[in-house]
Order: sequence, then C-alpha cells, then structure tokens
Amino acid sequence: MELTRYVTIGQYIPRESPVHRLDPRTKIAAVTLLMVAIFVVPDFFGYALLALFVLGIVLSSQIPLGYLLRALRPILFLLALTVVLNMFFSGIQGGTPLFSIGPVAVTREAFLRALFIGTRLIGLVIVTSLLTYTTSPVELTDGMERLLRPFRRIGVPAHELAMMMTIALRFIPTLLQETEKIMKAQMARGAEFARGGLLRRARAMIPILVPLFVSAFRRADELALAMEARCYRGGEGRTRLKQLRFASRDAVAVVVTLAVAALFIVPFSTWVVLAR
Amino acid sequence: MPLIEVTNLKYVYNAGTPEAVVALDGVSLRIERGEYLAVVGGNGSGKSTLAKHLNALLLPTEGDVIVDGMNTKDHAATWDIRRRVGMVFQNPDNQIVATVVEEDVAFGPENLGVPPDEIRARVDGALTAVDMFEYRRKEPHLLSGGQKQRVAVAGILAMRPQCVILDEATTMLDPEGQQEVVDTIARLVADGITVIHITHSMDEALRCHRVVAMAAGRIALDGPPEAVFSRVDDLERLRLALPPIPRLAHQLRRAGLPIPPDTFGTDQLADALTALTPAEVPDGPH
Amino acid sequence: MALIECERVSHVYLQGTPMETVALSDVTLAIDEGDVVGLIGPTGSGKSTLVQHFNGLLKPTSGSVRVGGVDLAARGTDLKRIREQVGLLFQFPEYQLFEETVAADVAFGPRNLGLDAADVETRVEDGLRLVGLDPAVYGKRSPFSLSGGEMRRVAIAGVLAMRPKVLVLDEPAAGLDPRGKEDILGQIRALQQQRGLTVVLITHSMDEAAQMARRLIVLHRGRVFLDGPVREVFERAADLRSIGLDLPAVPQLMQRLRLRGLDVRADALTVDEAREEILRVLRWN
Repeated sequence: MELTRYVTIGQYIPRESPVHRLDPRTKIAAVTLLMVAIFVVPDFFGYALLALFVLGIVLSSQIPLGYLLRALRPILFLLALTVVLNMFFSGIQGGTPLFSIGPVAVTREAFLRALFIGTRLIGLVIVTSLLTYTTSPVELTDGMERLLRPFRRIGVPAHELAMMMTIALRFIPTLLQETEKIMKAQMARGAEFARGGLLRRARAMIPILVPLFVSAFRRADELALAMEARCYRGGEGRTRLKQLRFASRDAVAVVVTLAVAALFIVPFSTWVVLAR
Repeated sequence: MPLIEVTNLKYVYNAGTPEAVVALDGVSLRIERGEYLAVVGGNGSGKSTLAKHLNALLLPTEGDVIVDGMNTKDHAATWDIRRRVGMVFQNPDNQIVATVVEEDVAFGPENLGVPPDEIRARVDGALTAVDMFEYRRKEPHLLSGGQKQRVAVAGILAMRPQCVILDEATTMLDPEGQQEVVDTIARLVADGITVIHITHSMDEALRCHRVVAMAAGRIALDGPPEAVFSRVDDLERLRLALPPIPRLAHQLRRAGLPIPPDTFGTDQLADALTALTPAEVPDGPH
Repeated sequence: MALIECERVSHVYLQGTPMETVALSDVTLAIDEGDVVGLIGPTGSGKSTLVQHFNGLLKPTSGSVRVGGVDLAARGTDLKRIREQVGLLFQFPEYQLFEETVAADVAFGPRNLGLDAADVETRVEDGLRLVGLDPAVYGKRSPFSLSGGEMRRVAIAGVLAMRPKVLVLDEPAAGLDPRGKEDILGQIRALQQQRGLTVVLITHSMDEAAQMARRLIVLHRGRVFLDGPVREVFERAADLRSIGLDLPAVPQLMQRLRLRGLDVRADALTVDEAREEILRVLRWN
C-alpha cells in the first residue's frame, strides 16, 4: 500500500453542473478567450467586471470556492515573487513614493502596477483551473483533438498529440507509485535524499531517475505491442466511444464569452465612442 | 479447418548477427476451435515467442502460421488476424492505455471503426462478462492486479475474438488475482472461445483440456493433463515442477500403491488412499 | 534482547483525510536472532506496511519499534545504521538497479555506509558469490544486460553486501518460474544456514511458508492473527480458513486422511514426509 495510490489523474471533480455539461471544445475556446481578455484588461475596474463574470461561471459550475483557492497554492511563491519584483523594479519613472526599504523606494504607481500583475496571475490560474476541474481528462484530450483536426492539413498531428496526452495522463499515477517504490528501495540501502547542497541532492536523484527511465522505456515498448495487438494503427478510421456534441447551450456559452471578451479586447475608448 | 495451424515454425532473434538466438526450433502445432490449451515451459523455452506468432506480432524466420485460413506473413491479413486472436500480456499496467476503465475497453473497437452505439454495447457486455461493470468509470491505477487483467480481457472481448491468448497473464499476480483471472477464463471457455493459457504454474495448467510443454524452442509433450503430468521425470528435466499432490501421488504409485494416474486433487488422493484394501499395499522395503 | 521489537504498533495512512486507512492495528511482536519467520496474510493485511517499520521507512502512528534496543522514533537515531542491520528487499527488486556495472550497483549500499574502497570491494565480491554470481564474470557487465533472474540476484547481493543481521524479503520468488523459485528459496535457506542470518519472509504461498519458515506470523486486517511455530499454526486450520487462508496442500491432505479414519500424523509438511508417513501407516494396518 503506498501513499501515492490515492493520486487521481488530473483534477477533475465530477458534478452535474451546466458548465460540466458543456462540450470540452467550448470550454477550451472560452478559456482561451478569457485568458486573452485577462491580459488585455486595462484597469482594476475591468478586472472587477471580468471577476464578476468568472464568479458567475464558478457558481454555476458547483465547484466549491475552496478548491479554486487551493489551486493557487502551488503558485503562491511565484505570485509573491512577481508582486515584490514588480514593486521594486517596475521601470516606472517618477511617481509618488509610498515607502522605502533601504535605498530602494516603492512608488504608489509601482505598487498598484505590481498588484495589477499579481491579479492577472491569479485570474489565469483560476480560469485554467476551472477548465480542469470541470472537464475530465478524456474530454480534454478529445476536445483538443477535435479542435486541432482542421490543422492536420498543415501537418499538425492532432490524433497523435491527443493519444500522447492520454497515455501521459494515464501513466502519471503509475509512475509516481513506482518512484515512491524505487525511493524506498534505495533508502533501504542507505541512500539519503534530503541531505547536502543542491549538487549533492541532484546526484542523489540518479538512483531514482535511472531505474525510472529504464522502466518507462520498457513500459512504452510493452504498451506499443499491446496497442498493436488491439489493431491500433494511428488515427485513420478510428471511431470514438463518446461523441462530442455541440449543443445549443454551447452556442450560448460561446457567444456570451465572446461578447465579454470583446468588451475588453476592443479598447474601452472605442466603446465610449460607440456609445455616443 | 483448425483455428490455428503452425507448421515447422522456426524463429531466430537477431538473425544474421553474432547475437542470434534460436528461440523456436521447428514447432508444429494444431489448435482447434473451442480448445482450452495450456502452454507450459520454463524461462527460455520459447512459449512466449510462440504466442506472439499466433497473432502476427512476430513473423516466422522459417515455417508458417495459418490463423483461420490466413497466413501471418500476409501483411494484408494482419489486422483480420489480430481481430480474431487477441492477447492479454504479463504486465497488468503496460497494456492499459486510457485514463478510465471503460475507455480502455473501448480502445479495440475504436481501432476497428465500430460505430459508437455498438461500441457502447460491446464495452458494457465485455465488462459484465469479466465482472468489472461497476468499475467502468474508475481510473486504472486504483485497481488491483487481478482487476487490471480482467479489464485487459474485457478489452479483448470487446473486439469479438475467436481466440484469447494469455501470455503469462497470471505470473505477476497474487493468488487472489490469479484465481480471478482463471475463473474469468473458465467463463470464456464455457462461451466457446478458444483459450491459450501460457503459464509456468502447473496448478493452472491442470485445469486446461490440453497441455503443451515446451523446452529449448521445441514441443516436448502434448496431451491431456493426466498424460503429461504422469511424465514426472520428463517434467523435472524441463524445469517444470509438479504441484505437491500430483507429485506425492506419483511417488506413492512408484512405491507400489495403485493410485490412478489422473489423481491431481487433495480429495481425490485422500479417496484413493482410504479406498485401498490391505491386499493392495505392498509390504517390505521400498 | 530481540533484534526487532514492535510494541503496540499502529499505522494509519492519510490520517485526517477522507481516505484515511488503518493499515496496522496494535501489532506486538519480537524477532529474535536466528529466527526464520514467514509473514503471511491475505492481500491488504498489512504485511508490506509492517516490514517497512523494521528499518524506519515508515514510522508508527502509535506504538514503538526498537531495533537492537534502539527506539527508531527517538531523536538522533541514525537510520543508516538501522538500515545496515536490517536489510530490506522489496518485491521485484530488479527494478531498482541503476549503475553502469553490476559491481558498482552492489557497491551502492556499502558506499552509502561510508566504508573505504577496499572494504567495499570485498563486500561486493562476497555479496555476488553468496548469490551464485562469479564477480570476475558478472562484475563488469551492465545490470541491464542480464536475465530477470540474474538481475534479481544482483539486487539481493546489493542488500547482502551491507552485512545485515536481519534479512527481510518481500516475496522473493514472485514472478519466477518453478525452477527459479526453487533456486532463490534454496539460496535463501543456504544463506540462513551458513551465515546464521535472521530471515523474515513475506509470502502469499502457504507452501513456500511451510518450506522455508520455522515460525509463522499470520496477519489479518492489520492485526496479528496467529504467531507461533509452523506446525502449531497449521493445527489451527479452521481459524486460517476463516480469514481466507488455507493449509498448504500436504498438511491439508494429512488432515483429510485423519478425518477419514487413517491414523496418520497430521504434522507432515513436505511431500517426502507425507509419503513416508502414509506408507508407514498403511503397512501397519
């Protein structure tokens, strides 16, 4: 029995919400649009509006807010670093000083700018997390494959990419289990992994990485053979168990997201002009 | 027409190089539809190599393998052959492709271009046949070894094969898992599917209708279990070990007791011993 | 003083989460020097979890583990020294090999112990010879060029090179063909006899346990169900069956013969013992 036995593939949380029922292509496209909007939003007011929209999606997805906040944990360090660096090295000339640490001064403008960039990061993580929380790995790879399919003419191997993603996702927990086992086996032989400086720790990983890689290659060989035995010969002529169906709710979702994104992507001033 | 006909099969790994190894050295074998066949042998006997020839994963260096009338050397027939003859491999993990059980079982039919509605029906039917239907939405890494192998069997069943080959599919399992797989196979046999069970467990071979024992790339013994298992000395030579009860029965027979040659089970032997009359027990030194 | 002592050891995985699992519950046992112990139990009974406490890979959630009198959970306990004394070999150990040569891989353990080069070399040669591999032939080869059985023996040599007092093996014969099983179990038996090693063997096979062990510890759902000399444990056939285990084939046969009125001794463990006993009783009647 290992601890890693309880890792799940992806972060999918099954629910029967309207967001869950959307076609994965819709969600991938919507997330892309929202990410562009996040980058283009000019001020905090815009963020507030966008945040309201995203909040609406979160509520209808029935994903508890706690999960989304937890999604921010891995990037907390990066977030703090980004905000601090931007506070001190914003490149904004002049401005009203707020406080200083030693010789370096932080201006009001730089401070606000840093917070702004921090909010952008938070927005990106929340929006992409929403995608992975509401879309199963199978749906994600299927959706990606369908979206990329038109690009096959210019050489994009849509099916192969989707297959690679599926297999990678499938084997992550298995490889994690194996890593734990190898680590324990080497520790039983006196290996230590938490000792010493960076270089020493890096060298200590060799007894784990080498067996893991060797094993991964062997798995790949055996898996390929098993796939061929089940008549796999690439994407030609393949059907799928689950069909993706673009329904009216998908059309609605796309139109609404497009509208919201357009609100921000097209500069605010244009709207003001148009409103007149 | 037999389902599979192997004629003078010879296979050399790395042929033509200094590392050439003769894995199969003139194997001839005929397998009829509906047979439940065990192929036993030690490591290096060639049993796994033979198995891979039966679904065209390997092609003969010499000789022929004909499956349902099709020669494996005929490239155009490869996919038809593999549809008819499915294979479950030794490592339970390294044959599961998808992130969800039912998606993996659907993999085979999807490759065959089966229409989606029918795939659904086949997947559900196959999972029910191996008693894994309630696990259909589970992620594969959460399953036990025996459960994973049953999913693999379901994946083959969904392709509607005529024959299922288990290439040492029980070797890496614990006794519970081995029992699950063996019970599942029994159901397949009852449904008329030809089953070829490659194993080095003589206990498992005992349950089959026919046992083929291999050594050094050749077939050494071929017959019903009672015939093969009575050749105790041959089996030892072939790196195979009789399970304790058949071995004990054989030794008692050699000491002069009239124990029937097909005594493989504990109860059978107990019955045979308690049924002996005093006249049947040889006196004197043994 | 026992080599390994467990005092009311419990182990709970993922405590406090919805996936909390009790793997071990109130386990008290002692492994003495010279013991040859078979650890057996149905899947999920906690065997693997238990032995990982013997060398400090896992710490008990409650209770204590002492090795050579040293409390493993005490601050300042040098786990490396513990792992030198208690050698643990996982299932399918051939998957842990990583060095470029067999000799280098076997040397990994001794090197981690901080021994000097001469010592390491002696131990490597010693270890390889103990598993039947000639150091002159195998030492320079890549571990990945060997057969599965040879790789497994290299892995065992790697643990033996640390000169442990206790050798803990998790299903050492798993996945091997009958001859391979015989070879490895025979080697372990020889090691135990020659070097006086204390051995703890996890196995699923009652037959294996009967062949190898003098004492059996039966686990069930994380608790010690039975603990005693092999023949005594086998007398509790009904209890074993109640947890899903059965006697190995030969003791089963002997019991059935007794039930049918044949006055054979029930404690025969091997085919040879059974044959002699059956012939003896039949000739008497």
